Amino acid sequence: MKTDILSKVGIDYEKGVYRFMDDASLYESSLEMFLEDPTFSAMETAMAHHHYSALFEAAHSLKGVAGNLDMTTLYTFSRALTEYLLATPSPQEEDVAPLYNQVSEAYHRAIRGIRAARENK
Amino acid sequence: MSNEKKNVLLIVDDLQINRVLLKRIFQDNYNVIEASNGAEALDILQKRNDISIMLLDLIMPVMDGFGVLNRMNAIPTCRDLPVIVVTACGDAEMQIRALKEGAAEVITSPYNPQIILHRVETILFKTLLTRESNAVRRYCPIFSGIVGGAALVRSVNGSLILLRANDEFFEILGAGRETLVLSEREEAILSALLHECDAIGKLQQKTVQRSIDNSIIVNIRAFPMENSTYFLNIYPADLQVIK
Repeated sequence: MKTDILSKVGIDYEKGVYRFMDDASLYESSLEMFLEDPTFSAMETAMAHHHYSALFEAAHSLKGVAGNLDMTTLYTFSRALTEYLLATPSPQEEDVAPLYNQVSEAYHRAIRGIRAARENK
Repeated sequence: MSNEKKNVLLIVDDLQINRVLLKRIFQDNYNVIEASNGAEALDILQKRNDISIMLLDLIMPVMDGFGVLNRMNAIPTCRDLPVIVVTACGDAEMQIRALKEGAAEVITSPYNPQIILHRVETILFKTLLTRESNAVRRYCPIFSGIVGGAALVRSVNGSLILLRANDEFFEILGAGRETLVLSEREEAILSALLHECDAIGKLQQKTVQRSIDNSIIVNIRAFPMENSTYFLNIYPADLQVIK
């Protein structure tokens, strides 16, 4: 994979490989696995239905995976969303939406970056 | 090291990528098995009694980590099983709740591979020490009135740990000693005996004769106890013992 492309979309390749016990091949296949991961789709559905407990669960999952794959930008924004939802008993859409949009943008950038890095091996 | 000698680690996480990462971290030193939710984990725990330690996610579909912790108390073989909660959740209240409900430790992601490896090993070691001290307490009465040498040993990853032994045990095997350390020769003799016990499986008692230093023939009887613990009785072959 082209690591400079990953770096531009907020994915720290070197840290990720270290986390995967220096197994670069497994790390890269896990990044590709992320392309098929249904977590963000669950977030979209929850957001569309203003189902904030489901949104929290999906954002929490996304944060966990993003952290373990060293997708630092996505991790930062998904963490901000989970922290807000956890601390707020009655979330308001005008507060949730900007946080959600940040996650969405970071997610789609990361997806595009992984695809581009894969195609430019 | 062959697979059967490794400790068995159960990873419970609904996210495949997290399971892949944890498996990679532990697969060199453990036999790793996986469950994708709490219900699957409980099913495995009810069917297998060889799980050494469990890494448990908290937020999962079907049954979450708290559900697993609550139900484990009802499964006799799980009561002493060490559980490490692995979660992306940094919320202190949830972490404290997990600890109160039986988790030995909480580790938050992103995981540092060296730290999580070290913590699992430390908790496993502490659990083993606790079990050994419980076993010594439980079987202490057996030592009184025994004819010949008596010892309580545990087989761990192919090595023997001597938990307790009487003076006669050391006298028969070699010079009298004050430390609970087996020599290579003694460990080889006892390992061979225990291997025979393991191979036979249902055997409750076996007597074999082995030459220790070409001058003494001993009878060794091994009694399988629990959790790979054996009670050994060693006495000179010419000594008449009431069986």
